[in-house]
Amino acid sequence: MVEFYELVAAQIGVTDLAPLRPSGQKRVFLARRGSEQVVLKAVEILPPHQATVLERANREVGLLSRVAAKSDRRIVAVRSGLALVGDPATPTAVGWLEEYLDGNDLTDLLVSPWAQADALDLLSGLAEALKYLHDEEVVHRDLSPGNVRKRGDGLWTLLDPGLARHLSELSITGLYQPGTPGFRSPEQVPGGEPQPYSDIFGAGILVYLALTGHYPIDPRGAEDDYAKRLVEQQAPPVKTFRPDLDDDFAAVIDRCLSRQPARRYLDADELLDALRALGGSPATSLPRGTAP
Amino acid sequence: MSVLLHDGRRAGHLSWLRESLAAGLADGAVLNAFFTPQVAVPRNPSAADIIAELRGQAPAGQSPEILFDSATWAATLPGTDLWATYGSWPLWPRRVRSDLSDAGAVADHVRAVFDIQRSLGVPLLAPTVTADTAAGTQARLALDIAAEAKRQEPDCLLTICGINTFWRAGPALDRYVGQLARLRPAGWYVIPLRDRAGYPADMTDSNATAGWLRTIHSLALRNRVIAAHTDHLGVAAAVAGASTVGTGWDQAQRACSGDAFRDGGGGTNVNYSPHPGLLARFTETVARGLRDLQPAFAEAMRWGEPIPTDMRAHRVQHFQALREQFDTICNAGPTPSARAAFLRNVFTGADIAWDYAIGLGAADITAVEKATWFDGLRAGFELYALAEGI
Repeated sequence: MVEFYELVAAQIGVTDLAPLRPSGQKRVFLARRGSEQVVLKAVEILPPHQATVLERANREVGLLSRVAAKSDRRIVAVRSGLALVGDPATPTAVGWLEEYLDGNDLTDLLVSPWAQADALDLLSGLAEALKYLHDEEVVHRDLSPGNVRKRGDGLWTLLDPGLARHLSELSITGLYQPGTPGFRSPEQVPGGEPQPYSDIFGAGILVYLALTGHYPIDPRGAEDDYAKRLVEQQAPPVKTFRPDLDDDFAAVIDRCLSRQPARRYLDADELLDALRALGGSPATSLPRGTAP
Repeated sequence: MSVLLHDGRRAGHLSWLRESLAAGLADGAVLNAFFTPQVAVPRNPSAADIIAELRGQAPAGQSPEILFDSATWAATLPGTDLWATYGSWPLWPRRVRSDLSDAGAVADHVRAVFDIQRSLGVPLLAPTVTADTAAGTQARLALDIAAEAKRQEPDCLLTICGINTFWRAGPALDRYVGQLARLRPAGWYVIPLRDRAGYPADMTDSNATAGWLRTIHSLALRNRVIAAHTDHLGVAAAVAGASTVGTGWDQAQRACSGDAFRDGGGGTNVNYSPHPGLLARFTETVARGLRDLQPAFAEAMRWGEPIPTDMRAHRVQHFQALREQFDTICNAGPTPSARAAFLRNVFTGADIAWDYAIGLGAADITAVEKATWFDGLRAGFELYALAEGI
């Protein structure tokens, strides 16, 4: 039996598929197109969510194409248009190609508590990347370790804005998009409406986790309990676990994780300003630390 | 740290405004479209005349702050019918009062409000509607109006007006305030619209008080917050970060409800004797009763002031006491935690004083009055402070 992703691969013209870590509903493969290494992303379209999946794929590719081109490699680039398998009106699978990134997923780097300089580098990198999305009024909505990669040259790059939403577009109905457990913001509970400051919370979670090994809001247990904690609990100050951190840097992280969105940095631009005020210029001119 | 005086339905208050500003008891005024006309009528000068007069009497370089509140939040309330003065203002270009039915109508109304404010030479204060929940259609409309106002005038002040059910909405309120904050206005004008007319404001809903203070706290981290129609509750608003408090001489100016915009409504107007040591205002009769029982204690509770014997003395004492209370909290420190520590000391003293006063057996100084003036405020404040960890 031919798998749906093989049909997508044939449609799009890639070979030598090697599975990578799945991402949400997507199957992800390292593939080859001519001499170029690329990443194939393929989604099977099953009832009753065909329209939703197709729209989401369209949106992801559209967003990536628009934003990545000007992101100075901070957002993963798209290497193809959307390929549909089957009747274009009712396709059975959809796929596209993205650039292959060398280096490591953040997931692989979260093995022991980081040094402050490395965490600052991560936060700066995330803020620089998010700026390209927020400038376009786009919210990533799924800043989880699997969606953040450190390239071989040390540049942090965001992947998979599959849940991203342009704020002026209507949200997709019929399929709830909560983000990844452990990495959600208080606005990602039912009834919430993620905004750029939700990504700031997400960036705060990643840095907090990198520094402490703890989730700022414990995601364990029932979904409802986690949602309740997200909207009612303030994360413990990062210095609770890392008293060695500089006060100013710790304050930046804590502000990212404010339960009330109005008290956070409202978007990546504000976060970048705060990071600059720490005394260093973020990302582009910061010496890139070596993550553990 | 400033005090603004709201106008009210009582005619002839220009002289009171003028006097209060000249004496340094207040820093400015908020003119309301329901109470100050566009064109002068007998005993009610026009907004332009009031502004000119108040500015004209100010010492050089010390122009009072004057705002014009279009009061769309009141005009769109069910039951509002006090249209005589309001109707003099060209606030609805489509000639349908309260028409905010589509984006075009919202834009037209916002533009009309700003045009009036420009013509008066006052800061641009955006209109809003009263929110009853943090996630309902009114709240969404208020957000749309705010966004349109910000689109038209990036440096405008935004207005938030809500009733208790809005302020007590917990995390939904926080999410809503986050969306408003994203608009990044020049400042905030925050109105806690009371469910019931009367003074002091009904403070029995501690969660609503806590939500109101939490919101001021969040907004004040970025911009100036004017706590409109707040009066003696300004001691708590100052802890949360409000830098300006709105008050007045009549009940409806001090604690605003929809009743103020209905024919025959607005509450009764009583001359109160300030007793800042009890965080309360008493009628002259009650104040005299307390004085007769324990003169030294009563005088201490009045911060040494005599019981006012006429309306003017009442106004002067009230504004003096309010300003001193508000400034004292603000001067306790720049942070909410420093101010909260100070206010808790004030509360502790007031609590002991209330119990002593009740023990004296004075008429109308009982646990009921203590609850009305003191316990509700303290409970709402403590709920807010507990959540903030201050």
